[in-house]
This record gives sequence, C-alpha cells and structure tokens, in this order.
Amino acid sequence: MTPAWFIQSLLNGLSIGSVYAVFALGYTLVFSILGIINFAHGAVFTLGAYLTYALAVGSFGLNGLLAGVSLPFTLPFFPALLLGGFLAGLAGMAVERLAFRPLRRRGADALLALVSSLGVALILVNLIQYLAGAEIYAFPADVFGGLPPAVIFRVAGKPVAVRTAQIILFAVSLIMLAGLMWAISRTRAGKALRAVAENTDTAALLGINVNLFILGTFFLSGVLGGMAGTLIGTSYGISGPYFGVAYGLKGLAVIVLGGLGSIPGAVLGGLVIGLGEAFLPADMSSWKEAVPFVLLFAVLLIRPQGLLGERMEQKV
Amino acid sequence: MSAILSAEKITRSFGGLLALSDVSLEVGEGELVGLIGPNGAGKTTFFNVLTGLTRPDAGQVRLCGQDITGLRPDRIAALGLARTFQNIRLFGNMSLLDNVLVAGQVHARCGLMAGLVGLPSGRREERTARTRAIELLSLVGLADHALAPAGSLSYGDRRRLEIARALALGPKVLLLDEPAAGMNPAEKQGLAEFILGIKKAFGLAVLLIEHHVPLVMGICDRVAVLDFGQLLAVGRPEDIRKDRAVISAYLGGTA
Ligand SMILES: Nc1ncnc2c1ncn2[C@@H]1O[C@H](COP(=O)(O)OP(=O)(O)OP(=O)(O)O)[C@@H](O)[C@H]1O
Ligand SMILES: [Mg+2]
Repeated sequence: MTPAWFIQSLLNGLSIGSVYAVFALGYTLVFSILGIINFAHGAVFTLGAYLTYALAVGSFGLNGLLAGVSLPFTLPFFPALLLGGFLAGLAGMAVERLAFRPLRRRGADALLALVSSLGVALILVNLIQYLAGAEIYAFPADVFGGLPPAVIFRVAGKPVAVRTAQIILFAVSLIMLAGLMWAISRTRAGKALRAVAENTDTAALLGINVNLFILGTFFLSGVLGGMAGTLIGTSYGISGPYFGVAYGLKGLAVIVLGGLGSIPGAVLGGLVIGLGEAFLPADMSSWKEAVPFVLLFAVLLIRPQGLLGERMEQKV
Repeated sequence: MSAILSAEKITRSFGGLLALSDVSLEVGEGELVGLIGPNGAGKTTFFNVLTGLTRPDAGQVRLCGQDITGLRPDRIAALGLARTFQNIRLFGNMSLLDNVLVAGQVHARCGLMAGLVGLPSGRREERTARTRAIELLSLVGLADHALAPAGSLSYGDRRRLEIARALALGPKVLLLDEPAAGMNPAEKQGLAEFILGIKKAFGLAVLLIEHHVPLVMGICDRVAVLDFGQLLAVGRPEDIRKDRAVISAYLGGTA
C-alpha cells in the first residue's frame, strides 16, 4: 500500500462516490415525499445517458430502429449534459403521471406503485433497446473538446493519474449536490418541499399544491438520475439498455446505507460505497459488485436505521 | 348579517357510521361561533369537510358565496379558510419561522422560480414574508425562539405556533380544533382573550371547537351543539344553556 495508491484510490473513490450520491438523491427525494422507492429511477438514469449521447454525438448506433439516423446538429458536452438532464427530468415527470399518480388518486396501497414503477422501467428500457439497439455506446475520446484526457502527477515518486472524466464527474456532482442542498434548506420552494415531505395533508391545508410539488420532485429526481447516467456513461461507457439496472441496485444500497429518506445520508452513503469500491485491492476486483452490499450488511448490523437515518416512525 | 362561511346539509358516513347527518351551519363576518359536543360527535369531521380533507357524501360548503365543495385543500386554504388541528401538526424538524413561512407562500406573487434563482423581486418578497412571519410569531409571543425547531416547543407553545401559522395564510375564517386542550384554567383564560384579540385585529370569523363549556359560553357570539353527527341546536349561549335537548344530551351536569 503505497502513498500513491492511497491517493489514487481516494480520488477514484470520491469521484465515483459523488456520482452515486447524485443518483441516490433521486431515490431519496421521491422516498421522502411518497415513502416509496421509485423503481423506474435506474431506467431514467439509462435514458439520460442515451439522450446526452445522442445530443453530443448526433447518432444512434447500428442495430436499433434509429440506426443510420443522425441529428441535424450536435451539442458540445456540457450543453448536451444539461439538456439530457432536463429531458430525463421530463421522463421523471412522466413516471409520476403514469406509475404513481393514478394509484395515489385511487388511494391504492403505496406498495403497488413499486410494481407500477417497475413496469414503467421495463417499458423505458425496452423502448431504448428498440430504438437504439442493444450495443455498447462509448462516448468519443474527444467528447470534452480540447481537454487533455488525464492529469498525471507524482506522489512519493509514483505516478497518480486522474482522468479528465473523473474530474468532471466530481465537479459536476459537487455543484449539483451543493445546489440541491442549498435550494432545499434555504428557498421557499425547498421549505414547501420539506413541508410536503413531513405531512402532505398539512402542507395542502397551508395552501401548498401538493401534486405540483410531487411532480417537481420527480422532475428533480429525473434530472439527478439522468445526469448521473451521463456522467458514468462518459467515464465507463454505456453498457446497453440494461446499463441502469446494476446502478439502480447500487443506488438502493446507497440510500439504505445512508439512512432511508435522509439527504445527507444519501451523500455520505454514496461516498462510502464509492470509496469502498476504490480501495478494494486489485486482486479482489472481481468482488467489486459485491462491495456495496457487504458494506450495507455490515452497517445495518450495527445501525439498522442506516448511517444518518432516523429510527423509523409510523407516519400519522 | 351576511354569512362568510356556510355549510348546507352536510352528510358524511364512514362505513356504517354516520359521522355527520344533514348538518347546516353559518358563520357570519367577524362572528365567533363555538362548536361543542361529546367525543365522537363529528366535530373534527365537520372541519375536515369544510377544509376539503374529507369529501362530504352530500351537502355544500360555501366561502364568501363561492361553492368550495370538493375543491382541493390547498385551493380552499388559498381562498381564505385556515385551521389548526386537535392533534397538533407542526413540521417538527423545521424552525418556528419556517413553519410560518411555509403557510405564507400562497400570497407570494412572484413565482417560486424567482425565489429559487434569487431574482431581486423574489428576494424582496422573501424579505417581506420573513418580516410578516416574525410579526406573527411575536403576536403569539414566540419571536424569541424563531430559529428553534418547532419540535422543541412546550405543548402550549405548539398550540400558539399552530395559530400563528394558520394566520400566515391571511384567512377570512379561522377554524380552531380544541386549541385549549391540555391547558390549565389560567392558560385557557389567556387563550380566550387571545382569540378575541386576533378576531378583532384581523377581522376574522372564527369557528371554535372546545370541550370546556364555560370558555365557549363566555366568548362566543353563537354556539352550535353536535351529537352523534346531528346538529342539536344553534343559538346564543344563553339560549343554548336553556335548550332541553342540549341539556339532556350533553350539558347534563355542567349546566
Ligand atoms: N377517517 C375516518 N374513518 C373512519 N371513521 C372515522 C374517520 N374519521 C372520523 N371517524 C369517526 O367519525 C366519528 C366522529 O369523529 P370526529 O373525530 O369527527 O369526532 P369529534 O367530535 O371531533 O370527537 P373528539 O371530541 O373526540 O375530537 C367518530 O366515531 C370517528 O371514529
Ligand atoms: Mg375532534
């Protein structure tokens, strides 16, 4: 364990962990308001990555319905990331309208929305496969324009390489996390959102249009998911329409580890899991997918409510 | 006197239980009406129907002449009907100030977006809302704790914060569900004077649910009596005290 390895792992872990945090916050926002997990979140993550790819590259691969179609324009990476995120936000709103609101209106058991959101996820994923094919999409090497592919420096004589993609992952995630935390704790909309999260009936009786805030929450959640998908896609490639499934599960591990419904918990959980993966010794790398769940298991043994979670109280 | 709030023939049942049966009641401008009745009489259900939380099976609610039956609770609140809860419902994790600010949103003229992106108009509005919220907190004597979490307040203070929060809606009618519950006689007296004070200061009509009959009789212009979902009587306190049906059903020992 050299100092260079330590620094390298730390940077790798913070970078990927911050994206996990962004992604997991999408789950947390919906959970804190509706008390249920949105199982379509992983599909929106995938969709966001594909949308940004399409906007930045302008084409749709070789074996889907859209093979050979190309957009009349392409966008530089950052505008594409933002627009892709925005469109993923709209997809998040569609998930609310299709999978959640109809059930809520009929007063159905909240657990049923779990199933309907899973249904919407399957539809989304199949739609992506139908349109864009099942192949792997890799962002071109020059996706960030003229930026060099990596920054290399030395620690105690050994090289440490930080890829530009990792720096962008970390910087974008940090900005999103800080912006979201600020908006929720300081702005009027954020306060209303917290009120809705604490008690929807009471919030409504204070003049807050609860359904509008729920819709807004799904939008935000979709933006977070879609942008996280793009960020991971640029760094590791988009592995196909089922890209989001593994990350969807990882995101669940993050929020349970951090404490269900807790925003700081999602951030901490994301970082812990990212670092846990990064510090896994190289000869154990085949175990990487298991790291989140091993960490989760270990933490829940000691703190059943998660790192920063409050003990579950029955909603009155 | 013109009715600012009127309920006409409200009926609501839960399963086989008739919680409200043909209940009609009017509250006039600036009037303080008491609503009394034994446990389970349907008083809270009546408030839930008025505020849109519970849909009536039949009947109509009007606020300032407008039919509000079946409107969403937030629309009804925005039209000027505010309430407090029997089982206090504050946002415990939020500060006193934020609890009041949340309710003031209805009157924000700039969109939420303006505040979110920090436009000057949004910021100005945020400042006025804050000043108003502090005023309301000082009105109920809680301004010193404005930044403390609502969950840290004593029971009586929570009740007062709930009233301040309801007032932040700028209501025309205020519904108070057992605001004096759990208070000692001196506190109850203080609350009675406080209710009369805000009624006058804000030009409010008030509908007050309260079990403590002397308090209700002492401050209300009119009193309505509910029993098993039926409206037994409505009238001036001195007439209600003499009403036979009321005495046998409810006042029994107290009158
Ligand atoms: N959502 C509901 N589902 C089923 N029954 C209900 C519901 N809400 C109220 N009830 C029943 O309706 C009746 C009236 O209840 P309500 O809470 O209105 O009485 P109340 O007059 O406010 O009584 P208290 O003085 O105890 O507060 C009770 O028998 C209650 O159990
Ligand atoms: Mg009651």
